[in-house]
Amino acid sequence: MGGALIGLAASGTLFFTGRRAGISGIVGGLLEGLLPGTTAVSPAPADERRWRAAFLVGLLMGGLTLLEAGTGAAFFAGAIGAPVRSYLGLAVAGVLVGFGARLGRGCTSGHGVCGVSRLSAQSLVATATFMITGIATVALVRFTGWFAP
Amino acid sequence: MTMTMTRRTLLGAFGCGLIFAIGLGVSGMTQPGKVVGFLDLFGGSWDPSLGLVMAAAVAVHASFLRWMRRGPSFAAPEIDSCAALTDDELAGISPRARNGFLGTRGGVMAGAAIFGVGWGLGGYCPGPALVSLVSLAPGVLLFTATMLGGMLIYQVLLHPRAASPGGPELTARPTTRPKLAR
Repeated sequence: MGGALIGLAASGTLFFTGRRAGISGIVGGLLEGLLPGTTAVSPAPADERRWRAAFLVGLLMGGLTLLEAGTGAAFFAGAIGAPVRSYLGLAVAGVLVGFGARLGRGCTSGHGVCGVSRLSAQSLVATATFMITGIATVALVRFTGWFAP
Repeated sequence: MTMTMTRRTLLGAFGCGLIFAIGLGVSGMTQPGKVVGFLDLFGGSWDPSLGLVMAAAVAVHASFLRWMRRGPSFAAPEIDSCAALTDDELAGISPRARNGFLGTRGGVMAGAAIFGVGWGLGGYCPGPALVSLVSLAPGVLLFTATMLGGMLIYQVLLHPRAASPGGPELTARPTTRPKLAR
């Protein structure tokens, strides 16, 4: 059910914008040129920024909807309520996710949903890669007890 | 997207973001404990449900792509069906024009490997982290802030950019986006 909605949203994004709904690309593209000296070879046109911003606003509105609809921490367990990792763990994880998603040209949505749907070889390899390192990391953290909350 | 952006496009993008967020929430992707449970193959309590979520998302989107390829009258702007993920196309440069391994499969694999470590460690990937911002939970705010920081680090260190004076010129060329044929 939730998965079907994700697929629907990815399809709708392609339909309305002609672009793939890769979250890291959408966010990363908006960050382009924010710091001096980081302007891309040919900066994304203003239109590109506008639909990305509209998508992000939708994403946050969806979050508010979930917050209203869920009783208590229903949809945000682990954020509200008992955390899964320490703050240090979350901070390190954030850097790795942000950097890795940009270097890898996509995240769970861009590679895992859009790319796998297209049977893109690059995305299949990327998805397999981040699944494997994710599984290995969870196993390592479980074994060592690092970053416990 | 060179044509003037219509209100329809913006509303569509907004609606898709909304649906995307609700899909992530309903499926459990915004709960890091559930994500970690999905990746916890060796913990004795593997929770495969997010695998089904991904399969459902792929099934729906793949069907949509099939349907779109079939309809010759489809009128969305500049659909690209076959290229690798988009940055280098958007920037209008060939991957070969870039230095190092960034344009190659090695860069994608290295990035995906790093991403996976962070995903397993934090239990969040970018979409769910952004959706969860509304919870205002300190952990989510922290994760999202450092995630944006990680993206900026990439941008400063590695992202292809306009050539600096005296530096090697990157050859820009107009992209021709393949139309959805067949």
